[in-house]
Amino acid sequence: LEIVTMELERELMRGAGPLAVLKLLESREMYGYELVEAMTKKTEGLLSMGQSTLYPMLYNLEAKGLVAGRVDDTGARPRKYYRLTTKGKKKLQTEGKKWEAMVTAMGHLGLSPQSISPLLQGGAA
Amino acid sequence: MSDVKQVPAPAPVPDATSRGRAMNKRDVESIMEGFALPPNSCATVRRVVKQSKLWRREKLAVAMELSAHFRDGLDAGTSEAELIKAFGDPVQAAKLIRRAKVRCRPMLWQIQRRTLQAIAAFVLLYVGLALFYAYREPVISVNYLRELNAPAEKVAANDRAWPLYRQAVMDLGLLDSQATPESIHNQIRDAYEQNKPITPAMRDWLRGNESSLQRVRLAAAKPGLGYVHRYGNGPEDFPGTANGAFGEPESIITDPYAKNEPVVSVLLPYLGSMRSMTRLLAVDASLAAEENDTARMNADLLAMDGIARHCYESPILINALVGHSIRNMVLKSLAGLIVEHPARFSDQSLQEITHRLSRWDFREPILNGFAGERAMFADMVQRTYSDDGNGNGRITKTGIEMIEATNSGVKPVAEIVYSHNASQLETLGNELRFVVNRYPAVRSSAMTLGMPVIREMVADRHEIMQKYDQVLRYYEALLRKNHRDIPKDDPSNPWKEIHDNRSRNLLINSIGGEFHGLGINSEQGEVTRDGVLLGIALTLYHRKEGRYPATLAELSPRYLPVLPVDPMTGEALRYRVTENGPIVYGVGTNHKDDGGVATPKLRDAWQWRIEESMRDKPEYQGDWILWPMPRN
Repeated sequence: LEIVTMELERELMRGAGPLAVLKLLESREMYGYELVEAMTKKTEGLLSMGQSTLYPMLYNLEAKGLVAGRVDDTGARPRKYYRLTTKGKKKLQTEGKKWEAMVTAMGHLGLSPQSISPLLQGGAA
Repeated sequence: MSDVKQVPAPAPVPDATSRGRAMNKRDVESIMEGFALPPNSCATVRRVVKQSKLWRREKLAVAMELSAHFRDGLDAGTSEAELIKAFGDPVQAAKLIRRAKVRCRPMLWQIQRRTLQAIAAFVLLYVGLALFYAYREPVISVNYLRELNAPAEKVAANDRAWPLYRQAVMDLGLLDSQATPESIHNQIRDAYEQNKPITPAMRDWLRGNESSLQRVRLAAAKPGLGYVHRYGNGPEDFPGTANGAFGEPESIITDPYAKNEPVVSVLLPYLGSMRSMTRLLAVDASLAAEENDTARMNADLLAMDGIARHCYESPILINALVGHSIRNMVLKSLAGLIVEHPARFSDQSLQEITHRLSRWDFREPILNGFAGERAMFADMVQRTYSDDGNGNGRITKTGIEMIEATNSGVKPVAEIVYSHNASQLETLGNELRFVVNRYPAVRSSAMTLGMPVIREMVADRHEIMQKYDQVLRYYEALLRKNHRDIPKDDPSNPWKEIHDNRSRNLLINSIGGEFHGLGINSEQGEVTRDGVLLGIALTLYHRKEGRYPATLAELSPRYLPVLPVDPMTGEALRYRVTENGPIVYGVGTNHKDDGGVATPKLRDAWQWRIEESMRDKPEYQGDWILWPMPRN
């Protein structure tokens, strides 16, 4: 499992990571650590990305106008929150469809979550 | 006890209104202090922030966000060690953060950055190209000197005139560069050129040097000159003589091809001597006529013709012109002697002279000289251009330096480059010229840096060769025409384009000759020769008929197969018989019959293409007298 997650981590920066971040921000705005936790929790640790890659990823999404950041300094400590922009929503929609199509295609090839579960368990062993 | 419980209370954070301004003032340390981070977390944040090399404002924002991250993690009960491990490699993080943050910078900055990057890349590429081009060297693959020497090399050793000429030149003291104005050679020269009488001193000197003059006559009868040109002084030149111009013995180079230098720099040390010897023979011929020594007079005249023939041997333009000038000396002597000493010429000798002069071709030696010019130019091209292996190439730095060294009249390259177009660049051009000329190192560096531009500005090898060939073909075509048939502003003249694009045609502008005068020179020779032929024909007619003909037409075909025409108009020559004898003339530059009155400055007035409005000027009045030959 560790090997698989390491590989996934590497791939996150390229495709799945940004999409995952956009998806997490779809429902509400979040700050950095919150995103890390949400990612780990919702993916059951599978997409527990190296945090050193999260912040550059957020800045890249910000540069592309897909997310917008704001510093909230009303609390005890300042925090930077990120939210999805309109452009980000559109991007999420199109990329999400592509991702679904890919997952479906992989399923047709027999690479469904159920089928790879033993493999993951074997990798962990 | 969990880590969360160990975390000290956060340091006070400035209130919302003052925080924005205060943020910029605070440094990273104070931010981390505000989040009350433990030392290892601080170290991680500090390292990332420091290595990100971002703007201060960006660093503070990153510091704030990462500090919040660690604080949140600690507050959530995660240990510091776990947080640091989960964060990953700070160096990699710094690199990625920098890259991402830079992308977030304003568009104007991005444009400026890309522009600077592009400029830097261009400068690097340019300097690289400049160095690459500056160190490209020409490839010398053809020995054009051998081509020029081919006719001389073909002459068998026993048939070569040069060894005899050379001995005579030294014996006659014609190399004495220290000669005073009163020296015998200068007296003889003045007597010849100004038609002064031969003095007793000259007579004595000529008699005393008869053996050397005879050597000249023998040399002139040899089949070929046989002078092999070289880059320097050879043993067959004048080593160790008083004339230092020809070098000392230790500087003698035995192998003509030992030094690999431009063909244009080969020496022609014999040409001046050839003229000097001809002058001596001309004066001696006059003396012989006065002394009723017809055989010696004829031998002198024949030898003069032989010297001209030897000058034409090598396909070098300057040789052709010297040959022409020697032929003109022959004609001048003949014309004077026929008028002053007609008894020295039998009918048979006059007929033989007519046959000999009729065979003279003034245009062929020039065309032959063009072949040499072609070879010299091709030689300069191979020494100044690179060679891409397919016959093409570009101008090289070495080449430009060679052009400048070969021809001191060439403008420095910077001047050519910067003053090419440019009244508006004139000041800059002047300043550059000053700096470039004053400091050789600056000049060399400027040229190195300028090479990518210069090589594009200057025509490539194919183009420059084609253009020069076009120039020579133009002059070859002109040479086959009569000057009166050439329009004043000839649209096919390639020099206009060459002058208009001085930089592009650098090599032609620097060493290529403008040969407008060659056609005139050749045609003047022909007209002078025709005048002597007419004079001989009139003399023979008079001897036979006891009178001069009523018209020139009566001379043809018996005394002259083809009657010459007026060189200016192409119409019949004018002819009058005066109490002093016959006069044959053309209307001259003013297109008017001035009754056979010679134009005041004969040579200068040979202008075929004067504007009609200029024809009334005093210097263009008078006629072109073909016979008797004017003495000025």
